[in-house]
Amino acid sequence: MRVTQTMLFRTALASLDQQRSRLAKTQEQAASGLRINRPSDDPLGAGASLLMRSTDSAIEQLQRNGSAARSRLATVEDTLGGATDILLRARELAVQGSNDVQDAESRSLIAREIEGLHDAMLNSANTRFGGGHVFAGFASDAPPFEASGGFSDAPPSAPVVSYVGDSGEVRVAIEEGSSVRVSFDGRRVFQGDADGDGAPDAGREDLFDVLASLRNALINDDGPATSASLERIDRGMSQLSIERTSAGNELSRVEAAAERLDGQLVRVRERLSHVQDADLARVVSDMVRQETALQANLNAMSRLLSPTLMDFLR
Amino acid sequence: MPSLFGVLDTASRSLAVNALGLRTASHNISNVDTPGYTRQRQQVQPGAPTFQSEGYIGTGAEQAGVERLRDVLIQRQLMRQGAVKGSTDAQSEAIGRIEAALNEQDAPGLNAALNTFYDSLHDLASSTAPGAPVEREGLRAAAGGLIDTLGSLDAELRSQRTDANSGVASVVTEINQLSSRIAELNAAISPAEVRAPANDLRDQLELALRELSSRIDVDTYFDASGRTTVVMGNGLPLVESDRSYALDARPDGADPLDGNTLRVVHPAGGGSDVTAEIGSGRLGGLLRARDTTIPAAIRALDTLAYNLAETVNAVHATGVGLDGSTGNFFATLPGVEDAARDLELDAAVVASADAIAVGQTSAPSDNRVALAMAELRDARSPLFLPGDPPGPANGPTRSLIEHAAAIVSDIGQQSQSLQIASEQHGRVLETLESRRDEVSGVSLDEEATRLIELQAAFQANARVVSLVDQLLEDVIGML
Repeated sequence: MRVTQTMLFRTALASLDQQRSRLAKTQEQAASGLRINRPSDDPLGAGASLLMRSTDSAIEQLQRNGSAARSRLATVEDTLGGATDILLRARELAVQGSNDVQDAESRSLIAREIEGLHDAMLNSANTRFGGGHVFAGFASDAPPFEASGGFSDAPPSAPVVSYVGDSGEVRVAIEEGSSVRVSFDGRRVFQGDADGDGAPDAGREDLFDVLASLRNALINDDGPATSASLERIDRGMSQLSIERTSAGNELSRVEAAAERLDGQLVRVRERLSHVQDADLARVVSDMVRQETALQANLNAMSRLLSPTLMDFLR
Repeated sequence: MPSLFGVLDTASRSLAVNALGLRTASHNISNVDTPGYTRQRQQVQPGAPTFQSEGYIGTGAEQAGVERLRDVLIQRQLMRQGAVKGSTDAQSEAIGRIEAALNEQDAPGLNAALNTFYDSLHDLASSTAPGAPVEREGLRAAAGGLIDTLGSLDAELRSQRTDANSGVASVVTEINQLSSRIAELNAAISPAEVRAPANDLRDQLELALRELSSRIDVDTYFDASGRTTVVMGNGLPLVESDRSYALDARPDGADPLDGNTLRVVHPAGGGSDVTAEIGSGRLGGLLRARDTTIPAAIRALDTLAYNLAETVNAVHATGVGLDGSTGNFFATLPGVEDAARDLELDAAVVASADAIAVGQTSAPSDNRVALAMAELRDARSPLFLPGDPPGPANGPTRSLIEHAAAIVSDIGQQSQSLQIASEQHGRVLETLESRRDEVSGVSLDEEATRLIELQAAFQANARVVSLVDQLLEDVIGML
């Protein structure tokens, strides 16, 4: 085979180019730590890594949703716990008031404390979280319960509490395709009125009315009526505990979802890293190998290209 | 009786042949690096003998000519391979730039913007504040970011298309220059070759043909007088003997993407549009990039933008804004075409973030519509494709995030195969060029050997002259 000068140069240049471009690719991987630096490095991997990053972003968003839902539900739970405590105290007072040793004077003192409990119940029902009223349904910008009138003794009367919220159900997405309820219909929780007809449903109680009639019975110095309200208070407490359980259920769904999301996130990141990250040990050893090869090629070239017969002519 | 002067004659003729040989060798050496140069070799033959009574007497060496050493097949292969490589390289460059625009490995891009948009819908849905004033602004900003991302990608692709278009114009100019150069060479070669092969002109012609074929696929024929005819793939001539036909790049007002799109027109029959018939060469590659590859990428973005607006609007329109208004979130788009460029927020949403429909009622915590919009992130539905509306969506069933990833994957795939093809064609071309060099390249070793040979021959002939001189002196001394 004839070997000519241009051939030598061309072949040498081509192989240098090839080595340099391979080395540049390896260096790029070392610098970025990524195996895929542009889609053409691995088209399928690049597409898959975009999808995984989307999943990552979606999971993080769901986690944020979950933590917002969690604090909101915790507020509901706490509030319902507080309302139960109010009823417990009212029950103690009712037991005390129904005792025959009490006279009108002492009963009216008890009635004053019940008035305070009535106010406290109203405050609980108007609880806010993050600026919104949690028992107002969708109409969260205004207190859902309004009291009209005040307490008076002759004739005995108590404020009438009415619900001005709605029955909207605010939900928060906590996993793909599933959501939890974070709002509680105040009318059902505090007034036992799930169907919205303005009166407590069968077996349910209007907590404000329970406290108001207890207070009025005490003002009237009516022992039997006072003791009759015990049964209503118990029903109210079980009503609250049902709602509290349901809030707890939602809360535990949030917790379970959060745990699953944590696991998913770890797995997605693992897979993402597997798809797009460079194996650094290998990249570095590749780089050393390619550098050595380049060096060797340069050495060989410098020897190969210089001598021709011309050098020996005199 | 033969005369001593005859010997002098023979020797001096041979000296001249040696000198010519040295010239050829020196010509080769000076052109060791000249592109397209084919090494030449002096052809020497014995001079015509003279007949004398003693028989035929030799008259020394004479130069029969100078030949080019070449393999005729390689020129054709080089031309064909050059055309393929020209086309692949042009396409690979174009798709490489699209790929760079869409690359999200180093900086957030379309995928990130889409995710931010869906995230902000979630934030809006799970806001605890009545009316979610902060989250409404957040959604507007995220949607604005997505619109900007789509718009700037679209603008980038369009400018790449414009670049390819101006590339077409400049390649057409180069083609015309090469055609007329070939015609000039044809005109010069044909009278020159009446006497002997015009080696160096042929080299230039072959080089010009290779350069031409890397820009446009052509075929060549030789006519009876050895002139080269160059025809395009569709048979229309670029060069016929000493006449060249200039292609014209004319703006096409009817192009949907850009009224400035150039059509390639051949002068035959008062101007015939040959744009569609140019297969390979750099021109073919640029046309493919301009008319197929880049528009496809633009359409893919349009598809994304249109379906985004469609799906979001379809849900948004079922809701009521905080201000009681109803309407769209994105401004209604007339069709998939140009959707990426034209996507914008609905005027009412631009005017007030309270026009964003979060709920089915205007109640401040009603988040049902926002929830439904946030669920669009994972919702798969048939996509509207370019040309679809009016009519139902006929495209593949995908979520928009999947569509965006598919765009990137698809471009990556094309880029990868073009890179591989380009490398491969480069290697084949390189092999062919080495093969050409093997036959036609100048070897300095060889030329040096030739110099030594010629030096020795020249010295020997010179010895003959001085010997004859001595003999003549002896004869004259006898007088």
